[in-house]
Parts: sequence; C-alpha cells; structure tokens
Amino acid sequence: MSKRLSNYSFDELLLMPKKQLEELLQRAIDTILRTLDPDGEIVKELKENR
Amino acid sequence: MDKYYLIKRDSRYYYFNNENSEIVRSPIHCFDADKIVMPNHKRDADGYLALGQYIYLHVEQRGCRTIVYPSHEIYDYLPAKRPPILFAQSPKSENARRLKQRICQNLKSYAPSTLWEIDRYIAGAFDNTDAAVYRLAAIAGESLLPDESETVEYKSCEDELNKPEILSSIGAFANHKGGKLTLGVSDNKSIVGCEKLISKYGSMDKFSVMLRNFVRQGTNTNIYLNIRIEFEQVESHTLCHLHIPESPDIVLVKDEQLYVRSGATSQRLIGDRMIDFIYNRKRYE
Repeated sequence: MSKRLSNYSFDELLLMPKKQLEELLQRAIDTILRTLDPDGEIVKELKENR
Repeated sequence: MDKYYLIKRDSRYYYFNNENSEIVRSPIHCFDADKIVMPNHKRDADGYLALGQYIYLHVEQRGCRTIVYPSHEIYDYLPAKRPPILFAQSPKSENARRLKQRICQNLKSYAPSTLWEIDRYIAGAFDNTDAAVYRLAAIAGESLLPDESETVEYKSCEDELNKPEILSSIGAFANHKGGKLTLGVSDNKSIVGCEKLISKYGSMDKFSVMLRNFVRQGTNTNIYLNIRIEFEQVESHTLCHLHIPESPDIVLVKDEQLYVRSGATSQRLIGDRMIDFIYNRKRYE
C-alpha cells in the first residue's frame, strides 16, 4: 500500500522526482477532501457557487 | 450494563436509559474518545452513534465523578488500551462549516508543507468536531476574519485594555468612514479572546458600560452614544466588537489628538496636516 504524504520526511519529499511528488500531493488532497467532506456536500456547494 | 439511546435535547446530545429514565450527558461524563469499532448500521455519516440508536454503557459513580464507558463485552476495542468511549456527535456551527468549505476550496493552492501538516493532523485524532475544524483551519492558515483594513482593526486585549490605542482607533474610524474594532483578536488574526478581561469587570454589560464611559471621558463628542457594542462567542473565546459610525463632527482624543484612518492603521495628524484636515472638513459642511 502507498505511503501517505505525512509518512514521508521533508528530506524525502525534497529528493522525490517531481512527477511522483505531484501524484503524492494529489492523493493527499483527495484524502483530505474525503475526510472533511465524506458525503460530497461541500464540493457540490462549491461547484454550484462557481 | 444498560441500554442507552442517543437523544438530542436543546442542541445537546445525551444518552437516555429508557427503563429508569436516567440521562447521561456526553462528553462531560466520559473519558476521552478512542476509536470504537461498532456496526455500520449504528453509525451516522460522520461515524458517530446515530440519533435514536442505542449503546450498552456502564455508568459508575467514582466519588463526585460519573464515569461512563461502553461495555467491551459487546463492542470490540484495542487490547492493552482502556475501553474506548464513544463521543456523541458535536453540533457543527456555521463558522466551522464555512471554515471547512474554505479549506476544501483552497486545498490545491496550499504549499506542500501545509498539505503535509494537514495530512498529518487528519491521520491522527481528527474527529470532525468544531474544535478539530478550528485547529485544522489554524494549520491551514485560514480564518473567518477579514484582514485589517480602512474599516477593520483588531486588538488582542487578553488581560488588559490598552486605552490610548483603543481611543485612537475609535477617533480614526469616526473621522474617516467608520469601522469595526474587535477586541480579542491579535494582529495575525489569531483568536485569543477577551473573556479574562470581561470577567474582571464582572459581566459583559458592566464591561460595555465601562467601555462607553471611557470613550465618553476620552473624546470630545457624543460618539460614545452611537457606538454599537456586541459580543460574539467563537469556540471557547469571547470577542467584543465595537461598531463605530462615521462622525459628522471631528472627534478629538484627550481634547487635542486628531486621528484618521490611513489604510489599515490609525495616523495622528499634527501641525499643518491637522489644520488642513479641519479646514477641509469645515469647508465641505
């Protein structure tokens, strides 16, 4: 199973290839969104307000 | 070990024993929560016990404390840890909801280090209560409060009132477009609260009277009558907002000091600048 963002040290993140870091950050964003907005209400409201 | 149903009364959550009508309040009577393993059909969308569902609880009196915990014969718990206790869901305030919205909206623009901090916090003890959301917002640097500006200023005033600064802000707002001075917020928009200060005066009403009196004594006009004072609870802190209207008359502090608002600061005008201001003000009356 892939490690989550906060399981890496800053040194590891600094040495990480750019593409891998971008994917890791995107996975972290998805995880954070799922935690804060498990039923998708906030994201739906943000889309409607745009 | 008895069956307790989760009920809601006056915006608070309680565990209610149907047979003896006993009510136990959460979380005051409970240990801090660990993760609890419980059937999914009993959970609400946030993972807590859903309203109307029941849980088996032990309720014990230990001295003056009432200790409540679920029966671990019924629910799984991690061995070697004390039996976990379930927190009833905390009501979510509008402020917390808006902060969550702001964080979700801005996630993609955060620096990797901020995302790392948020990810670490969420991986730990994030329980989706209002307090947890406020802590998360502090990590993300999000605030419900606007930046200081022409019409907005903050003073921390945690333990004492900086009267000269408050008078200069009030004078500056009144001599410009009016504005809002909030006590209990530091310059970097951290909420520190002024409840300690208010308690020194006994009550919010007495604090308001004191504020109005010292504005009356420190200024030359009736501005003290037109300032609207209101209090706001944010988490466990109290903020005091002073809404200062623009004054038709020039407001002087201590009979001789003239302040005007310039950007996000209050500037004292002296000498020619003071004369020009008064002249121009009178010219357009």
